[in-house]
Amino acid sequence: MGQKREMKKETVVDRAAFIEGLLVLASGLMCIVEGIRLIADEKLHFYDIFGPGRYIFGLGLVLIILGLVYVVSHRRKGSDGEKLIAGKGEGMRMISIIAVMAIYNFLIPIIGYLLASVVFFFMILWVVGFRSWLMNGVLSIGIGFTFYIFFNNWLNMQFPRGVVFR
Amino acid sequence: MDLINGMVNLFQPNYLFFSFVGCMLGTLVGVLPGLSPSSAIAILLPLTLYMDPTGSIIMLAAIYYGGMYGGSTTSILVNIPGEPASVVTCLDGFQMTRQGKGGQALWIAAVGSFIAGTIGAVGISFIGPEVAKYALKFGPPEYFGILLLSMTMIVTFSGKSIIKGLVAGAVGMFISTVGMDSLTGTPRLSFGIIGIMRGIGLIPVMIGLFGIGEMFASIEAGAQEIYKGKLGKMMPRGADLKNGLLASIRGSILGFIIGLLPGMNPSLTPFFSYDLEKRISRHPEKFGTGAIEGVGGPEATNNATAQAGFIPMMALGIPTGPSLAVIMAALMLHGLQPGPTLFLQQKEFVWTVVASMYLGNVMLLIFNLPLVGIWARISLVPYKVLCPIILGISVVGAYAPRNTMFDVWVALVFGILGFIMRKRKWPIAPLVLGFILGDLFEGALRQSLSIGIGSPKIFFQRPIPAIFILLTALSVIAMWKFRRRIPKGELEEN
Repeated sequence: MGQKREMKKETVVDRAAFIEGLLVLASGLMCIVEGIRLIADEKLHFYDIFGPGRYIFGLGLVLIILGLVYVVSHRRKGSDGEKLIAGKGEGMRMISIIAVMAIYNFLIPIIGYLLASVVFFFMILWVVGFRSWLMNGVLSIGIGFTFYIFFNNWLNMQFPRGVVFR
Repeated sequence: MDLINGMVNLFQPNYLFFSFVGCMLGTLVGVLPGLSPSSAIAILLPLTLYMDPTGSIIMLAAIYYGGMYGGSTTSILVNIPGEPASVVTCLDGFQMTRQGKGGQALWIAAVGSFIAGTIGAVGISFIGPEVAKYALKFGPPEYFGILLLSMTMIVTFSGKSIIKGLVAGAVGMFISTVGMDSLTGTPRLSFGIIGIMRGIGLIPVMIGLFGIGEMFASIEAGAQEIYKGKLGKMMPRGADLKNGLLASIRGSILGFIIGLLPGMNPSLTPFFSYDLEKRISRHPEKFGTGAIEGVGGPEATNNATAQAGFIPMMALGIPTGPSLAVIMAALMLHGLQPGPTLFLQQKEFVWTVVASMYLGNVMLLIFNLPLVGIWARISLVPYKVLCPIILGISVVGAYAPRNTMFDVWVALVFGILGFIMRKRKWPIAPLVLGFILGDLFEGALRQSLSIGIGSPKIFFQRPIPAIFILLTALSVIAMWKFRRRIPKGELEEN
């Protein structure tokens, strides 16, 4: 059973390495296509002989070569990375934290920085392990207001006020 | 004379305050495993945009070299390096703690760091202006040569896998091409999206990779060990005192000289010092069991290297490590162009910052020794308390420079990328270096080829670029041989 788990882990890890290699190759291909488009534009060579296209084309070639080397070397030697998420609990925690941050980014332009921050701190404190509604509420309001006063009033940073409060 | 003017200028309440805050934050960051000086500098950088440029650089520089002081505390007490430069200190420092000599290890680490920091500040005072004067003769081909040599840092920071480092560096350069081309104004890889046309901001990338990504990884990693031992007497006596101080002086000189070279940063040079101390010691068998030279030497080396790195960064515009790359970004964001003109046209700024390093080292010695017990306890603060605050500051930091939510999303995306890279053992520093140097590298290359009417011979017709290209080749060979000597288990990125 232990051997099967080990083999399954290795397959997952090697698959991840293959995907990484593909992403690098895709980046290289993007650079080559963009490079060809820019090289073809004669107007761009007025300012400098090399132009903006040749550099990015060359970079694309480098990425493709490195991507191929990476894929081939990891197929031969195996990958040395870990699985992204060690266990189910850690996985849920990470997804939750990323989701909370995404929700925060989404809310700021809608309800404004202050309210969005209060909501953010409430959610993030819950996710990291503070499970008291009252304590979380008090802390999130306190920290949110402190951040707002410090950054908006003291440092004069202009945050979005939100569509709701415009 | 310039240094004296700098000292006089430094003694203004706000500069003294920023130096103090930087030293405290640097020590705190150094003490906290999982939060590196480069993360702290990246997160705080956008906030400094609202401050006076001199004060902000004083603070950021103090965080950087202050981190070297703080990192030794957890290395010695709980065998967890507070930051990468203190990895070697664990070898003998923790053994000294187990023998009841933790206080002595902390003492020699602090005093050694002070000696090194002072020697480093003196070195900057005399060598920096000379390097700057020489660098005034540099044109695009010469800068191309320097940047090419700097690219060898990507190999240094690659850790176990050079191919991963090279890929990360190339991806960094790829990201730097997104947006408007700096020479022609042509949008590249923007797909017609206005937010992308402005380019991927340096600060959101830094905050994402170093700040948010590190927080994700630290939360996922879980709880820390708890130290329950005693520190014992603080100051060593007799032979231990003499050996520790001599090792510190040797480490300082070694760290400063090596620290001038691109690619040599505080996480790497302590290995050299440890190796040297072991070779010249009459009792090499003691190393690994609690030799005081194994603490004093490396700790002095990492500090001296940190100080020395400011010379190529300020005089040539070449950062020798991730933290200095972020500080260089801070300089540029404040409208101060790193390079020879900085020393010549911004004398008041440069010498005030250099003077602050003298004072900063004194402050750090004063804060670290008596307060070592408090710093040790702070290192046990759980991440679930720090995480919300740091993530909140990161969002503010990403938004502040350009006042656009696009940058906040970029920071989150790079935060996820930074987390994935850490888990998949991809080195992050090459990506950052590729991103920062990529634009400069492309500019120098294209301008040089324009001067040479399209022919690459221009790089060999001038002596300085030709020498740098040769040094690049030698550097790669030397690094290859050096990597083969280090045990693979220690060849992680940091």
